Amino acid sequence: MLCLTEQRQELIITKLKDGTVIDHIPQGKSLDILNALGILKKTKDTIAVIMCVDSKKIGKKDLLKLNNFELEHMSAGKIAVIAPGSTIAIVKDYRVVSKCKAAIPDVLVSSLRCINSNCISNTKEDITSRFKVVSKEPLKVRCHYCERTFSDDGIVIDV
Amino acid sequence: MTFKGQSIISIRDLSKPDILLILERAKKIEQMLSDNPKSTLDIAKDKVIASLFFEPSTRTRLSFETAINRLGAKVIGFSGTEGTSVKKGETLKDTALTVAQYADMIVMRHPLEGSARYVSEVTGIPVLNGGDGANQHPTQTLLDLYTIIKNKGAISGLTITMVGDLKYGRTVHSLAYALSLFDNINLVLVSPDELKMPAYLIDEIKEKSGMKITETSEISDAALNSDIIYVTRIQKERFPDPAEYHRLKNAYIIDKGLMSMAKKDTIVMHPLPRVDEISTDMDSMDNAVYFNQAGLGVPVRMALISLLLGYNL
Ligand SMILES: Nc1ncnc2c1ncn2[C@@H]1O[C@H](COP(=O)(O)OP(=O)(O)O)[C@@H](O)[C@H]1O
Ligand SMILES: [Zn+2]
Repeated sequence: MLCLTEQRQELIITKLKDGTVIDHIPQGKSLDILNALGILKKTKDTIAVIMCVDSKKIGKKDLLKLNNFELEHMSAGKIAVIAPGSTIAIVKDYRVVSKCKAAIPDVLVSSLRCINSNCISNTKEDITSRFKVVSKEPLKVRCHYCERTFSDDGIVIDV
Repeated sequence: MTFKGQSIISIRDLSKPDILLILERAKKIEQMLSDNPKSTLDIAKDKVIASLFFEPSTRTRLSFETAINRLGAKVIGFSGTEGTSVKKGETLKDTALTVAQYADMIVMRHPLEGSARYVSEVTGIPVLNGGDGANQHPTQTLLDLYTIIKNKGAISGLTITMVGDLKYGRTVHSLAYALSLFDNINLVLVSPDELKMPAYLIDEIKEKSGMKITETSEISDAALNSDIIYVTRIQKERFPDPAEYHRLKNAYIIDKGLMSMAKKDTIVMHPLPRVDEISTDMDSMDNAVYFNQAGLGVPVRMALISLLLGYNL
């Protein structure tokens, strides 16, 4: 059993043998991550969604514990865009074998969708989306194909 | 960059030294053909170049095909998709991969933005972008810069006024970006409020360079102090409301009267086609360089093609 005892709260969740833990997710964003990464479609294994946990660092946070699930290489960028500040821990044999903060990369591959309806990446052509990150804070990206720059509502996760 | 085997998709892919090298090559080609500018340099006799115009064009296609012919290469291709397998629903990828079996290089225009970049990625052969929707048209920008250098000796230090539709006109967007690579340019933007250059573009340029940019809706003062007046057409197809188009289309007319107030050596450029924004009474003036500008598209495109094919001159 793993006990999360942040501020008298006690959560009892079966300990992961192998899998991925996504922690420090800004409150309410855990479901967005599940959805955007298509996790429910990709695994039939147990998933623990823990919402609204008190966190010393960020007030309230969400957490995801994914049994026997390994994130694809591109997912960290997607997570960084949806839920900045999240941490990703890979668990093997009950131990955290690697941990990283989901950081926005310089290029977002297969993470976003271009909203320009006249962009070649929005057609039946078989194209992997690709955006250059022009600025990380605030996030601004430029489509590799149509070269348009997007920020705020213009940035759409590819689900 | 080493040009051999590369594609030219966007003006953003080119550094200032790249641009200068292309313009140097264009000058060299003009010198080599100085006895007869309409003769050929038979350096690329064994090459086949595909000219794929998914969208019609007059100047761009004809000057590309002229450039190919004057290098001694052969042209294959189409203009408009009527009668091609595009009409049967073939993907751009399949068309491109097929053409890449035949040709050494692709020159293309396509209505979708990013199409040329995509074709260069799937085929791996050099692609020259002749316009992808509202996005890029780098060879136009290069021939504009070449026209400026030829007429003014240099690009740095000039006062350049852009007039007309600065919102939708991709030529002025790319040219403004390219000018920002040079020093001490004073860029003046003259347009009606509805057709101002997009703020994101001005911001991007200002972040990258120290280029001075002034926006105004008055042409007279701007025209007085300019070395170059770059005029663009107000595009009818951009206006859902015809009344709006008619109100704006003659907002600025460049004519002899206006030019009599300008400096004697101010040149007037235009990517063409023009409608009424430059009065035909200007055409015989020495200041009017727009037809010559269209002509310079040939040596500039010859320069690019010869560089991408890896020829030394
Ligand atoms: N075997 C495990 N099963 C389930 N969750 C785990 C396991 N090991 C660590 N975690 C959780 O993964 C996250 C990162 O782990 P760790 O690096 O130990 O924590 P922290 O980031 O608080 O220092 C934490 O939320 C922790 O509770
Ligand atoms: Zn795009």
